[in-house]
Amino acid sequence: MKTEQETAGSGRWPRHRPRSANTAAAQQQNGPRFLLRLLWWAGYIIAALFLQQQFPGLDALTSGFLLALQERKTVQTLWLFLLFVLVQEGAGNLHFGMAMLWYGGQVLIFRLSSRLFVADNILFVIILSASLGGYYGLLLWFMCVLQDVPLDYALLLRASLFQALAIPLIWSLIRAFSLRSAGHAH
Amino acid sequence: MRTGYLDTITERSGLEIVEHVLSPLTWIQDGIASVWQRYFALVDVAEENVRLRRELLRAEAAAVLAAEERAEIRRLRDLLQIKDLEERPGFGARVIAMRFGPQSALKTLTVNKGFADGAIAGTPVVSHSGVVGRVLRAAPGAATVLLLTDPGFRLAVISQKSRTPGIVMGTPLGLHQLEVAYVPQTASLEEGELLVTAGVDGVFPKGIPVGVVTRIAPGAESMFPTVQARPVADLDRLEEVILLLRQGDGPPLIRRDPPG
Repeated sequence: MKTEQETAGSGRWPRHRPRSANTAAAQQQNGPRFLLRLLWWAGYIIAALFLQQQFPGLDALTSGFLLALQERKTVQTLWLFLLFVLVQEGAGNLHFGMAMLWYGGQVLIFRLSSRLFVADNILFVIILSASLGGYYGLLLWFMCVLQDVPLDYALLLRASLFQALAIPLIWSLIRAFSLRSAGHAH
Repeated sequence: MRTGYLDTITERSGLEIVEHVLSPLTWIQDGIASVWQRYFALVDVAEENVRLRRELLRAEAAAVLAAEERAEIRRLRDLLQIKDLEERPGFGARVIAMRFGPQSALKTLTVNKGFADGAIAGTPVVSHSGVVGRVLRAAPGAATVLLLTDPGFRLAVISQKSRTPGIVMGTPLGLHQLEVAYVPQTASLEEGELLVTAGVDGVFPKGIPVGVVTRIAPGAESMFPTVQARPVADLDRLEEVILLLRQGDGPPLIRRDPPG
């Protein structure tokens, strides 16, 4: 079998294109893909805010954040973290801090759980959302105690359960419509 | 964090983002509902029209009597040199969400008017039937309103018939329960009596309906009786509210004239 150097020396096209040509092609592909990704996230955020409008107390952005964590794209996750914190802190009615701890805690719980389980299936998301539901109730209680806000414990319990149930449902839905599954289908 | 800068940044940007997303969605929802009501839900509209005409005639007759009584009250007030009830300018706002997001431990709603329109923290919010709450925080184009039924809400009231004073407070339970504190033991307050704003706080004008007394019981551990009430405004079905400008509030930064 001829080596690549020999092929190049014989005047024929090399088996692999030079690195610069690869980079240019990748850049050409990345432009529309980045735009598509941006549009997908914008659409998801609008739909999630609409869901939050229809179901008081729900965080519909968490499922998307989990999806971003599963995709393991650090920059994308960081941008989403900042945006989600800004939106939830701004629209919520407690002092600054809860959304930071809520999404920060999600990163921590995700990292710890993904060491034990395969972080890419519905069973993992169900286990994760159960722990996130508990964490949400604990965090809300803690922030209310810190800020001296009287709390309805029945409402707190309902909110935690609702959150734990909603996360896998929304996650399954957005995963079915995600760009990665669209790519797999084609 | 202790300086409150982060709170200000998030409430001005995050709340504004939410308003820009939810307002068009609410507009679309309203449009669909309006199409339904105009073209599909027109059953029995002729009968309803006849009934409404009859009601209008009765209301017109009542309005003539009320105008006479109003003129008489004005004459008597002039005689006694009592100041007229305060009339406050206000502006309407659309409710775009209730208890929005996971961080909503307080009973609040979000409206599509903010400090650019004149809504600042503390601005009184009412509906066509009574007190709703007051503005908790405001962005340029949206505001969060703390509801009357939140445990952190306090409002000085007076009963309409027996003129019994008290302080209305929210409770952690539901959107339909209020407590009236510091009611004198000797007061002749009755169940079913209407509570109106006392107007002593300089925030709410006097005479706006707040709630109806539902239960009076002797206080178990205090010298004041336990008085419960329900709000007059239907807080879980609000669509529009009125924000009243307070005395000394400057004009809105942006004056939005009505179309046409």
